[in-house]
Amino acid sequence: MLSRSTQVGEFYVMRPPPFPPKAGVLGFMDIFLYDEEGDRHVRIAWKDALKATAAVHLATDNTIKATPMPGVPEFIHAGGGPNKDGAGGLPAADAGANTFEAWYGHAKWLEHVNEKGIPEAEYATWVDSYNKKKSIYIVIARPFIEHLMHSAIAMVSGRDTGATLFGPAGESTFFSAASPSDPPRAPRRHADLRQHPGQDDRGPLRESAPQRLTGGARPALVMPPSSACPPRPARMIHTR
Amino acid sequence: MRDIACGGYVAGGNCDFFADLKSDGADILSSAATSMQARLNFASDPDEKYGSMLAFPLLPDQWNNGKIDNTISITSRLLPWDMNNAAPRDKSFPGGEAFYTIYDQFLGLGSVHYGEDVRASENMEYVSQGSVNNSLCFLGPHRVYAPLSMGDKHELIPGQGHFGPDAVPGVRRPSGPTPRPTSDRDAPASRTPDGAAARW
Repeated sequence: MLSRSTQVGEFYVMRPPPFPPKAGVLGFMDIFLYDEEGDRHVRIAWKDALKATAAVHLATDNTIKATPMPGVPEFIHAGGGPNKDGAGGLPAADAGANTFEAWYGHAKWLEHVNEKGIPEAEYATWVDSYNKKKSIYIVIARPFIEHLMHSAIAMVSGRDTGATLFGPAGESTFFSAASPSDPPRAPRRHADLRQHPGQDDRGPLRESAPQRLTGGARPALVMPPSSACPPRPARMIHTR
Repeated sequence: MRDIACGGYVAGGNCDFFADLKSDGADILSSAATSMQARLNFASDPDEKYGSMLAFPLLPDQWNNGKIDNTISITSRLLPWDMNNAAPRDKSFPGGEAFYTIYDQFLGLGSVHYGEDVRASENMEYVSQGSVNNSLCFLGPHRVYAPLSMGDKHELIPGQGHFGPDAVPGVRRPSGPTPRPTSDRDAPASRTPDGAAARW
């Protein structure tokens, strides 16, 4: 078996729900991921993901903050939500549409609402602002998931892929006593004495009784159709 | 049929960001670059815990139009269906080529993967020569808030890679001697060992 260390990667998308959450609902931007080391589901907060993008740093760079992001609406310090200038890390001024700075403003607005919830008294106003932020997405990439991987070739045993001359050593082969016609539940039986080495439970290579009794020349071995094989009684061929 | 068994978890599957979330400013990116290289080089002690995750802004058009609905590349490595495009560079990176350029200069993404086998990529074999570090990410199973749900407030987004559509806790084999199974359901042989959960 070939073993090697192999990496695989996954990504996950964090985005606003298609419908605004009810008033006071928290964590609607968060997602749950499976942690292989802890064998548990872990909540990934929008706040942490946003910080991991380093947008708080990049959006203050005069060159980077103008990076085009088609589809991102203009960020305006108006309407519902935390819209004080610069409060909570928001851009100090309005940001034009289709820019990274606007994306960051919307993302920061969602962080606040995700942590505090939409107040019921101003629900309609805040929802109107929320609906303008449905295009704010974050991708989380987990690219270096590493396992020891094993490769093997598995084939159906029996005549189709070559006869096994030694058989399943140490195993027992039996039929169900209640239903003798059922297929064996253990590995197939190898050939017995005076049987063709390649035969198995699907049908013995039998010689006719008169020829065996007369002790004449060795007869040709003939494979009967499987329907001609009577069910074997329940028996144990080999025990440990 | 290949890769029919997963023998042992090594690293990279936890839920910690490479970036130090306690830092500020440019230190966020520098900490991410440092810890990512430490992870790929296994620079720390064997019992040291490494980070696993990166985060990027995403263009709404990339997701809504299905451009990255199942695969992204976090390096300059190309996807098979981008090989024949006139300007294929980094279209599958979150945010597009502009953001690949930005993050590459801070995180050194171009050094994660190199030695691209173009012919293998065109044949969708996902085989590369040179670096063994992965750069392709497939959509993984995760749970998102479901505003119309009455009970469980989160719903599964099925995965399209790795182990399959879902990964659930509860399969990690306990340390110490393997207990004798009392039934087929308890048999560890029926589960992927050591924390690698798979639901087919």
